[in-house]
Amino acid sequence: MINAGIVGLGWWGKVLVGSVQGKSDNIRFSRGATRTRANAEDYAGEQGIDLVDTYDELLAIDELDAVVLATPHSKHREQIEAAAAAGKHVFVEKPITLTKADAAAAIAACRDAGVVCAVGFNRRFHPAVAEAKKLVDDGTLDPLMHVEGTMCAPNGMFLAPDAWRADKNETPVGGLTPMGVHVIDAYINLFGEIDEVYCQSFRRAVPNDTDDTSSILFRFRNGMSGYMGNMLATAPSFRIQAYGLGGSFEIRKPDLSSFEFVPNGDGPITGATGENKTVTKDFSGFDMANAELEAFAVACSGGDAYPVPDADVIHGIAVLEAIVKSAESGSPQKVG
Amino acid sequence: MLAAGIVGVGWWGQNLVNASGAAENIEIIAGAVRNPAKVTEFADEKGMTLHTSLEAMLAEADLDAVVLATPHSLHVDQMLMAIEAGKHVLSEKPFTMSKADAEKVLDAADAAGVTAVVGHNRRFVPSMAELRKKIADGAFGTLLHVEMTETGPAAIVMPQDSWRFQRSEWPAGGMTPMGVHLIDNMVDLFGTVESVTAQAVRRAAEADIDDTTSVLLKFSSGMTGYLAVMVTARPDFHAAIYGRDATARMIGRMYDSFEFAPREGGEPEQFNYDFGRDSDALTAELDAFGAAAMGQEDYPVSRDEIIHVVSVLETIIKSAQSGVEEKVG
Repeated sequence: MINAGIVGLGWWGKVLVGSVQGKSDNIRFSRGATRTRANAEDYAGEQGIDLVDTYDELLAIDELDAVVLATPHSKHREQIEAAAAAGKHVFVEKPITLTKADAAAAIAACRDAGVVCAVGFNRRFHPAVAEAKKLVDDGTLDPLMHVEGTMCAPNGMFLAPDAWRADKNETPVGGLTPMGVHVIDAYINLFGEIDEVYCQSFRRAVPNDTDDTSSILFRFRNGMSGYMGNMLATAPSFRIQAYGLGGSFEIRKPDLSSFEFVPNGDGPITGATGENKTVTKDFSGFDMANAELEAFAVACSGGDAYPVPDADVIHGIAVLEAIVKSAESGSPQKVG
Repeated sequence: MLAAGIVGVGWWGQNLVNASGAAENIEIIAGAVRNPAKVTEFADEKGMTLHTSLEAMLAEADLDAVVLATPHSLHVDQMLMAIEAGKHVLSEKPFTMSKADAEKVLDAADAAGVTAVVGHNRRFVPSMAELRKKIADGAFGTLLHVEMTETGPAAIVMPQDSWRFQRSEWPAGGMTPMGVHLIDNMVDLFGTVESVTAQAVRRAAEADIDDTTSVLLKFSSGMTGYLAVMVTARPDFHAAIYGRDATARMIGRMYDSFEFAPREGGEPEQFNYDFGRDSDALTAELDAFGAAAMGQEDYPVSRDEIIHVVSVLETIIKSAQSGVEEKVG
């Protein structure tokens, strides 16, 4: 049983704790540290978590095996390095950092210390994504042409002005860091590296000085093109649809529960494709947070490695940096 | 009731002729085709005379109007010829391939006292009317973004020697067969486009054309958009409007069903219509053309919109070549 400390008991920290606490044979949170301790006392008590005042105190607790970081992005690198120095495995929320150099350094620190560094790309564990990956890897869709992804939430409208997420230095390009990085990681997972990006990002409706409407064009190393839209001032939604000569798949709904694959028949152009070979699957009820923390625990115990390669994590941050630069410059940006 | 001659009686020309049967303001009585032998049966059925060119048809048939269902690059000259002969003209989309040509044609039509319009049939569907109304009513709150994607396998299933499969007729992939419809929908609902950034790639087409085009748009209003078209993909359609207070999503491919979801409170509204995008809407378009030509009612695509849609198309093609954001002229 991995003994973990939760760092950051805001909204998302609580989601992470709730996904495994008392339900998992592999991981349990015994300790926690959070910026405003008073706000978390009741919750921590209910969950059987002992709070300490500082992160350093947490790291000094011998029997803790691991820390789970649900903290502002700008803190991640220093917190990961401190955890590695203390010999603790690290699970860090996405994005791991805001620069590629920081990502590489943080990951190297963990590797050198012999501890796990796992990034919270929970969509990688979702069966809908696994279905999609099979189609892509099988060559069923070949040649791949294009992918579209959209992820939205209304959260930008409800952030307090002093919330860290309302600080555009923590969350450049609006919904990119809360949501977009999940879609980008799915793209990297499915289609490989991204070569170039172009981003336009605006503030349309949120009260704080952050963007809420961002759209991005991609060119992949494999030659296909892509698009992503992220909005922080509209109803929650999620969609990824990929198009190939062989057909297309679409994953929909905020819980990714809707999966459909339609092969490209050779019927007339008005759409009749003869025998209906559409595959539709319902993946309701899958708990992505639980899956990622379970996988983290397994890796910490010396089992299967956490299934998000370091190279993908670092490349994802290179893509993020290029997107931020493109939004600032108004020009397309090659991914470094 | 206008008597019209149609140039081009191929797949789409026949759709127009079929739709004209139910029209009240216009009747298609003649057709001009390169190879009349191919369509004599169809023409006989429809009671149309056949002619070997627009020139011949204008001379031989007694027409009030001309309808063009011809390759895009021919539209300008054909419209000018019809206008010079004193005929009203409805051209299939795209109206022209350049803003300059669009202005030239519309100025000629004004000077000749005839009506020249473009066949953006998708304006005439009831779902678009409902969306127009919801936007005007402010039902979406602040509008953030629109996405429209249309795909189809035209470049796979049509004969490879089709006039379509060359970059001069289909620059930037599916922009002229399909993309320009989406541009018109967006201009209709959201107003003018200030700039575009486009990318077009060839991934699967046998012919030397791009098959996958994706575009980001900035509207003058401040909202943004995304548009994509693919011509080597299965038939599919995605359209979504994102507003602060509500979202809307088209269901299916034919504009006949959409869902409107307020963000707070209440179930989404479903709208379903029994109205053919490529049949009933064509009839409505032909009737609107007839009414405009007879001076009864303005055609619902204004002169400025006709020009602006062409301008956006032209700028998308330019951006796909330059690789950078281009301002719409």
